[in-house]
Amino acid sequence: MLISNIFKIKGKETEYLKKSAINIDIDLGDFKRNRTPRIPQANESQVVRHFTKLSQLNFGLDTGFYPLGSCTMKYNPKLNENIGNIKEFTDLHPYQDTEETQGALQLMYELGEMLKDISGMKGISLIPAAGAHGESTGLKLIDEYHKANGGFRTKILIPDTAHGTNPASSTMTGHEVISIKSNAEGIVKFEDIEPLIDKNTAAFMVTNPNTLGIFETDMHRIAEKLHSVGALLYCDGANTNAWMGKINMGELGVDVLQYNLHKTFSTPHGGGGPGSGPITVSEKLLDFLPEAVISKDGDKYHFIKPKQSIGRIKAYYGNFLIMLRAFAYLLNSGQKGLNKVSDIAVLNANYIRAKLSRYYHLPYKTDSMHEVIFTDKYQKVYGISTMDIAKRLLDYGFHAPTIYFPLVVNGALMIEPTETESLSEIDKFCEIMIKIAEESKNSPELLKNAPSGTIKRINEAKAARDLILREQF
Amino acid sequence: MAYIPHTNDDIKKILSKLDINSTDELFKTLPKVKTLFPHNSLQKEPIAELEIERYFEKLASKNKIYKSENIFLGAGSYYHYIPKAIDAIVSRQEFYTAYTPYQAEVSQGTLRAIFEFQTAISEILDFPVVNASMYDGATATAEAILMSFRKNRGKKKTVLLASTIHKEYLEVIENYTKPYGINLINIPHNNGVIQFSKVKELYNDDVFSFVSQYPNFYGIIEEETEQMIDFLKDKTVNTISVTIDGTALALLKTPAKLGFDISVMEIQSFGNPLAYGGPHAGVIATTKDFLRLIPGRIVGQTEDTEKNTAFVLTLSTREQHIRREKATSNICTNQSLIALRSIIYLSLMGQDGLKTVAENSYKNSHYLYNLLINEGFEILDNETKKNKFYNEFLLKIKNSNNINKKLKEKGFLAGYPMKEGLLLATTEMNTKTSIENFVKELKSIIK
Repeated sequence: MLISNIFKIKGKETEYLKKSAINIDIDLGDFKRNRTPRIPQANESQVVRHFTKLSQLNFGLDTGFYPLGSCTMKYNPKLNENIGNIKEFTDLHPYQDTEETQGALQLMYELGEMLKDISGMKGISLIPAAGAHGESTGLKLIDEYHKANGGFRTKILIPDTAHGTNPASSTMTGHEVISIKSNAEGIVKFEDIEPLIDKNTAAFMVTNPNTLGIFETDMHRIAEKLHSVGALLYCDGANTNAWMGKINMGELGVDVLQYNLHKTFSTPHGGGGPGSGPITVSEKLLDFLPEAVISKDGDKYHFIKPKQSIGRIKAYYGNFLIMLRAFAYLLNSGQKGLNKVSDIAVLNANYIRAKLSRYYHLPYKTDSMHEVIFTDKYQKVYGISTMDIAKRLLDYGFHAPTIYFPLVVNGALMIEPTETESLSEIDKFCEIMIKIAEESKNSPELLKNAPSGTIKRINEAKAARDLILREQF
Repeated sequence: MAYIPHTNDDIKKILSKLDINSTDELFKTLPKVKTLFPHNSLQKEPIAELEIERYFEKLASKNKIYKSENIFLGAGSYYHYIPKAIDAIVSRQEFYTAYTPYQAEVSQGTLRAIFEFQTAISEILDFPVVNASMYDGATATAEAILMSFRKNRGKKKTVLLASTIHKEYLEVIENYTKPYGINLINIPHNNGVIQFSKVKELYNDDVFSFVSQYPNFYGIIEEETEQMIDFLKDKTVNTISVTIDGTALALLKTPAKLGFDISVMEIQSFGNPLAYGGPHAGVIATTKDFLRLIPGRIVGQTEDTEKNTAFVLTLSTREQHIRREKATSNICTNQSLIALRSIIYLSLMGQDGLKTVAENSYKNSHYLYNLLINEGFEILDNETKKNKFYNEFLLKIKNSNNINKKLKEKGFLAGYPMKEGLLLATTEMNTKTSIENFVKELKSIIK
């Protein structure tokens, strides 16, 4: 099957503007470009056809169910797309006087207040462009705090179930990562981490619920111990979909919590971004927030730079058009709505757990929250792996769940339905999963040869071995 | 709330399967809580779509936007023409709602599009290795410096930074390099340009990287760039060029031809709205020397089991999900949809179209320049030789803030007020008439 190639489509370019009639010669001297870049030369009708064909090779969230654990692939409301196109938002230049952008500032301010409310925290920065960006920013705040209170601390304690961005963010900010083992129940026990907490500990970086979908019940006790030695608690809020309207992270002792607007708050994934990773912080860290924070004075909004700000972590104010979508979602939900979101998200996940636990191995007996993790243990005896199961699901019109993550589980298959999948969709999914379990035993070649659609199983090893990173002309 | 499809019956069925009476039982192991939503800033009840739309209309009415032909403000974000077909294509759910293309077989659309993006950027910047996007030009520049730091295995710790780089980019660079104990040496400028003699003077053997902006923040093309690169090249310094308005490169000699090792670009100018600063996106392009060290995702070409050409995220052993604390960066979610918009832009505009955008931007700025000179205004320039510039220059006037305000009242987004004057930019959106009107208004305000 041939995938359409824009560089091979030659046509008369559509003219979007007329050449300038101003009589001035282009004089760039030694800086004149000699060779025209070989970007496409095609007509709009051909370009649209090309990208439309490409889109048809993609599975989207409106196409079907994405049971991806820790990704929270919930429905992306179309209202949000519509308001995201309003000119008074899209055409605002970041350097316009704040007198002219009060609507944008008000939006960001109110969104910030709501996000603080959800986690029970005192301060917020909307600037981080993604979860990982929020993580590294949060860690920098923690560092400034320590520098102002006795000196830089190098150790970040991170559970072995953590998302890869956690340790990566830690080393990117100059720390040493100490990996903490999760126990047989899938969580970090107070007794296991307590001896490792000392005056060299900058912070404990935990995801709650963790990447196994299990609530870290000792987090609060660990927070107390951390604070007693002057260390801080970072909570990765990727799994916020599980606890809204149920707990107050600020009360539990969290010092930094980053959200993923493109997960919990319904903004689209975009095929890999843009997302947005705002961070909410405790009182201790308010003075260190990055430039710039939005402040309200009567009914006027403006930017301020906190006294001991860590400075700038990206140009301008963050992914504004993404914030706008999340804000619409929050208006649409309210406290009641978010509470229900978590109710149904956890309900759906537990339903799947109950329906599939006879057919797929559950590595943890502990209660699941919004996501459930299985392994390929029962299927391995037939020579079938998690990869085969995932690829076979594609044949049935479902996107695969998260596979081989977290690393502590062998052959992990992590399923997060979210609250926007209907009972009938989930029943269908479970039916297919059960069918695949049966196929593993009786017709394993169906899985081995999956996916059997237009594109068959892709050779990833070859891509890294025979590197082709652009079209060759 | 609006998007939860479960009826009460559905919920009853599920509760019954789980043998529980209410969803409350699912949260029983959670700690007791004193207050939820303590600030009461999130309203209790859901608000319906109609009201939400009205609320946004109210917010929108508190923002002021300008007629595109009257925008003379750049300073890092440029109002270029965005063909309508871009929105039509990216509003297809298969593109904008899709997840990261980890399951390659069902994501060939995204993967092929990003592969084409990498190809187009590779052509524009003239480097073989291009990543799939970073958060923006500023963070991409910072990460390029860190990449260079890794190349030198942390043995050298100093970076030479042109002071003529966008101020916010410099601040982000400072923020990102601080944890590594990297020294930043600022190369001072003389009338908006840095000089080779200064670079030579400030160089020491602890320098591992040199960064300049092309064209620089004042819109000026640094005349002595090649001399600087030649000097630094045999000192194993990794040279990094940053371009913010990428349309400039339709006319300008490529960073690769100038001898740079690494090129960073902000791609907002390729089909992306100003968006009050985001989402924009950055990209890093470089030589094969940096292949194992470059941050961010990269799409590679391969085959499926039936030898059909296919595309997949590759060289993942650099990335956080594989290498964790040893990853080249912590970046995961990037700005994929912005990169998609950019390749669609480049495909629609085409070779001639992009050239027209650049020529018109250039001619408009030079026409504005000529009119201002003729009226006796002064532009930031060399004492001896005239600087070359693309679509931006600094008009030297006092009270730039005040002048800027007055021009706004006349409907002009009149550049970026600085201590030295007003930084004025043009794109293909300005017209001969709007430029003449701008100068007329400026004249009457000054007199």
